[in-house]
Amino acid sequence: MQSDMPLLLRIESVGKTYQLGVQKVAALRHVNLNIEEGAFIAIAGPSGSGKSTLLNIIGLIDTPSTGRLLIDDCEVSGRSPDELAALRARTIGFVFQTFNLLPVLTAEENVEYPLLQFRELSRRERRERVAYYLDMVRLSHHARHRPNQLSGGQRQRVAIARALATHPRVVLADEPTANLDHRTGSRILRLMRQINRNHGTTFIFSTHDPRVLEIADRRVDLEDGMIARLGVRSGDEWTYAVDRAWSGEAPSTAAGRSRMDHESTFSKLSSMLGMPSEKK
Amino acid sequence: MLLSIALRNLLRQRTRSLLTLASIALGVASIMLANGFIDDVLWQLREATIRSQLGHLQVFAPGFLDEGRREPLSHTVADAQGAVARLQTIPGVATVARRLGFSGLLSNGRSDLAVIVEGIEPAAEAQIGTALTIASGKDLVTKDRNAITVGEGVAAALRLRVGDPVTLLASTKDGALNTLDARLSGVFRSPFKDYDARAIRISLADAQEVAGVDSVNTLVVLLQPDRSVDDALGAARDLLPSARYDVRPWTDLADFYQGVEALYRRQFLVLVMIVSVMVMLGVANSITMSLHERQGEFGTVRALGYRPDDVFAQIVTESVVLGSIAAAVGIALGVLLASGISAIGIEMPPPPNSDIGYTAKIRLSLSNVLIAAATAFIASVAGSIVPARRLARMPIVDALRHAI
Repeated sequence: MQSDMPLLLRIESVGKTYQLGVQKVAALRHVNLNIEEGAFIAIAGPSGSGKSTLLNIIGLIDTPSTGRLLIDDCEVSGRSPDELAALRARTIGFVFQTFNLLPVLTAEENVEYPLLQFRELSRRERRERVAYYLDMVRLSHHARHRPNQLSGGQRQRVAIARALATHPRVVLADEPTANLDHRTGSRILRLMRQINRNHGTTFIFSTHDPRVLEIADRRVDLEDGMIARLGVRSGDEWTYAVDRAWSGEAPSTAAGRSRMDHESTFSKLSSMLGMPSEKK
Repeated sequence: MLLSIALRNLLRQRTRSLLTLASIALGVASIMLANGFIDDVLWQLREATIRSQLGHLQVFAPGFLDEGRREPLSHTVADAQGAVARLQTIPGVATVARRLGFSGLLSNGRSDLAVIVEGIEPAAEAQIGTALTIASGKDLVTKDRNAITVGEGVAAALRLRVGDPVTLLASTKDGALNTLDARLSGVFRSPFKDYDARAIRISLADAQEVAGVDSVNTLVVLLQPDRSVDDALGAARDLLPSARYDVRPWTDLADFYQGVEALYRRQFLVLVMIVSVMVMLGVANSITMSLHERQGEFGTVRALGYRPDDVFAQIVTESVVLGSIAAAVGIALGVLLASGISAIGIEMPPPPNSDIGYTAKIRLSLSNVLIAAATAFIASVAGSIVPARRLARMPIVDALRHAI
């Protein structure tokens, strides 16, 4: 049984190797993953496990050494930098750990900046959209402030508004709470979860933060560049599967105490791994 | 928004932008001053050349410039009076003078000197030869007969003083020897030593009598100030058929001026190149430093969906803005300095082939200003291209490793 939501991303046997001097370092190895629209996924793992590399590949700002990535069933490998840029502009929103707001622009200009690429939007439409998303992140009254006049939490909210303003299919958030205090971080996470629920926007996090894992409905645990396990939330519990490429075995439910129907859980995990879901 | 962002980024790094701007502006000002100085030197040389000997245009019989030096009396201007009348109809012509030139031997009774004789119309020549000054005695006037003026060099060689009797010996057109007994009326000084060392002037009537001809071999046209030589040249050539007349602009006849101009222009070109390289290196250095600090920013811009060309355009736009402002500041600085220097004047020693020093100024023209501004502007934009290309093509993940 497959999930009801349509498949957004398909990652097939993706690997990434870096050349460090004479040594080759494998950052990712044989990663298979399916991500449906509306998912709220956390990619977890220790430093150097490949979280950021995987996020970068999904975000089309890095290319895999092997395997392929499909967005809406369209393969993205082999595309030119300009084609990838156009795809990024309309498909992907980024929320960075260090916010990455352009320092010379005000909050509203930062949100408007990616929209300038959309020729079909009039100035009025752009302004309306900017106002809408600044209102969504409750920063309308700080619209004319520059990043250095905003707190860390406010900056991250501007970054979220900027990421959402282009109506992306997926928002990628790389350690979005790492530079925020505990309370602000929690607020930011709640805001993103709320947007995910209300608007159906797909969120993928790369994180160490246990709070992200608390609110995510899926998790991908990476170790040494491979998927160690995949988890599906069931209430307060996780149901895990071990990746076949990691274990050399077919996926199976494991570890977590599941209150979900076993078949349904296996189906979701199989779907995430990009495998048929007939096997029980 | 591109321009606005560029301006804000420049203001964000005020000190660095100011230093870069200052170096470009100084480049603009230095090019303006150097070019303005050279323009003034050349302008003074041009005026001296035109207003001592050549006028703006000269008309000869065909072949005179090739063979006329050997047989000047055999290449006279046909219907000179009619040609003068036609030339005077050209708009902007101030005066047209007739000349008869040939070589002769001037004697003071004790020694001789080979000279170039110019038979002139004193009234017309007084308008043309404003750069030719009388060092002693007086200039020729229309009613003068058997009067002669000589260059300073001639006077010195023959030890002549005003009022001294002299004898001019010359060949007539038919080859016979003829003489003119005259009295030294005055000694002239032109900006050209070579000319003063060989030239003597007598009235056209005396020259025609000595040479045994009733014609002239040169018509000299002087234009009103600021009239176009090219326009007058075109009009003169339209009026005087080339089969009978050879009309030349003064530049064709001024070998010395051409040589000096070529030399100065080449020197100026080298200066422009040096300044351009300095500006380019300065801008490239400043931009490279700035871009190094802003890698994260451009990585973000790329991640947001902007293309490498957009990043390139953003960086180059910043250089365009900086170059434009610097060019404007440089022009203002150049004009200010030029005005100050011109007010004081630059005392110049006599140039080669001259005994007369002069006061140089900085002559500013629109083309001068445009050359200076364009040079600095292009150099500043060119200086940004390599670092901009490098950053625009940098892998996004590498750029994003740097914090904004």
